[in-house]
Amino acid sequence: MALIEGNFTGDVRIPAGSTYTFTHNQNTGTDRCLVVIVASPAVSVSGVNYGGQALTNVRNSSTAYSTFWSVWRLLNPPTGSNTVQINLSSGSWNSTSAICYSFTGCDGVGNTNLNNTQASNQTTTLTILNNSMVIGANIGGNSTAAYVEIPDGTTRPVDWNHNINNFTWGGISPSLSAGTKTIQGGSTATSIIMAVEVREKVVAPTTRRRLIVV
Amino acid sequence: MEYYIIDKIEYLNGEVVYTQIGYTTDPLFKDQINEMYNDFFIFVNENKTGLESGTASISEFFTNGNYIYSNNTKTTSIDDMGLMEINL
Repeated sequence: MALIEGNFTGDVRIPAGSTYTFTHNQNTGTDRCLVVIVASPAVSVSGVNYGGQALTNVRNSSTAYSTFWSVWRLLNPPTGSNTVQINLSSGSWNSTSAICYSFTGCDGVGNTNLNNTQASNQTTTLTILNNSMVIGANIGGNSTAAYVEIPDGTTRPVDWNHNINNFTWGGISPSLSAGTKTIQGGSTATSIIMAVEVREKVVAPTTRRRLIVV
Repeated sequence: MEYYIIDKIEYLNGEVVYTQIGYTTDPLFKDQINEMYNDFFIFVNENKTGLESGTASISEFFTNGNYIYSNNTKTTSIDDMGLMEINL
């Protein structure tokens, strides 16, 4: 079944505590998957729930911007509008960014990569399977003229652009062919970049048997 | 279509509480709403050390039961959220 990008939600707020919630709508369909990326300054994320179900942590990185960057996924999440709950390791008064992408026809998150060196128009590479989509995300000193290219040279819409005292922004590609891709992003300031592969669910072909009577 | 969820932010029972009250599809209206949130954002940043150590209280921002509105969430679907559209 083809990997299809569904609903997107981006949230940025001052948690004013160690947990906060917002709402996201998961599309109906088979092989559903919810991917959540959280950029939390100074305070790490201890867990993410959707509709009461705990997401699996795929990646958890501390970054050059004193911001924890984590990637979470939930296979076969409940459909419809449900609560996203972000749980922090302690109370936070720092603006925190959380973005959610829903998918159908999805086999979950594959490879991820982070280039944690602050630079102008920073890049990272990611090896992906056929028909995977790639989320490209930056954290930088500003988001003036923020852009993301997946692969480099192909500009994608910036789906979120959040002020977390530093700034975080990003977007997603359509399905791409297999191979190693270079993802680039930047603004008028230096930034770091992370890429996340979202894989298509591949259904094995049905084995056919023939009865031959001699 | 992009939907901007409107929250009411108030200080209740010792906590800052965000409550979804509606949505708008007007980015200009969303920016107007966030002018209120900007005051909250500035207060928190100016008092962050005190808020983190407990020597300052966010209740100082919410005087006399004040509340503010903000847009913190942007989404592509509001199905089943039961929210009403709010416009200028």
